Amino acid sequence: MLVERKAALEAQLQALQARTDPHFLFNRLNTVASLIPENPELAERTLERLADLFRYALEAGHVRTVKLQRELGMVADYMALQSTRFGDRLQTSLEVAEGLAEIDLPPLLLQPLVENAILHGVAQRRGGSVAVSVRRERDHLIVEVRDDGPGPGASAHIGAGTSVRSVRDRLRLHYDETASLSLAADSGGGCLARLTLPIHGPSL
Amino acid sequence: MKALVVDDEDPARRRLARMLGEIANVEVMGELEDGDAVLRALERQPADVLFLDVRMPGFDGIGLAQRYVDLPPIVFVTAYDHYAVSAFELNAVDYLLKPVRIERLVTAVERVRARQMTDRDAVGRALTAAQNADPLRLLGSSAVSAG
Repeated sequence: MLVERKAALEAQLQALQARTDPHFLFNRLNTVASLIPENPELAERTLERLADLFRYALEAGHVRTVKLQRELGMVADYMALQSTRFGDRLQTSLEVAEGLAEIDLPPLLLQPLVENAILHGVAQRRGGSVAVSVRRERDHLIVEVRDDGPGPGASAHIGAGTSVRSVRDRLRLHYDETASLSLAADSGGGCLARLTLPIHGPSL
Repeated sequence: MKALVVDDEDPARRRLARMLGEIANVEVMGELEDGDAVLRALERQPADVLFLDVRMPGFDGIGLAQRYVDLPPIVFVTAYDHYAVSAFELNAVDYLLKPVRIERLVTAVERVRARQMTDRDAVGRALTAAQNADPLRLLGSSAVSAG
């Protein structure tokens, strides 16, 4: 239990570091400054999303699990924020099957995968798309994050390895070997990250 | 002063262009997304200054400045001050941190103007030195001084 708590705190630390990373922070403040005269409503929404992302990162260290709905809400905010940077060049989608909102899972498992997809699948090129889908297959929750970038291993994005490793560590700690993360080339090119989680919670 | 604004983020590019438009005697010739577009634009029309984001897809601002020594004066614009040392080694005119304040942008424009005048003086002196080094002229001037 202590080891899992430590891993959760490390995830929180990474999330906070990502949120307070100078590139991310000052770029988002700059985005808001740019939007205020052009599109004040979007500027407000952007600040709200930023605040919620920070708040979520702060909370993540204090709870063992969150409802899937909450984690997906944060993913949606994060993707919306990134879309304001790239306009039409970044296409994102989030498809969630019915009836899954109340499933419990550790916080901040999905967000690093989406962040990777955007950073190494899209931001190093002129644009692209990231699609997140969530469905149930019998007793498992399947979360897929697809990008249409250069595919695994082909990108120069540093840090992708660390976040994948840390997601795998947390999966092992919370679920023993009953959960998995796979990262592979997607059938149409690009990268597919697939998270498979048992629905009825961690093995006891 | 003709300026090109280069940043892969749409709102960042628009904001800088808008602010430059508020400064007297500065004309924003174009807004571009990456280093390749800069080179193509400069082939079509010269610019007096490039406002370059440091991190862009494929061809980052520092890399661009390192590879092409014939670029116009550069002002780097970035969220992160980690690159400040490289920028000055590359003889950038200035280095601005996002979000940029108008007063700081005005100072950067003034530094570009000062750099332009220095460059013109330097070109003038170089031309004069080249003329003086001409052997025929040397013969001519010694003939004059002998007379």
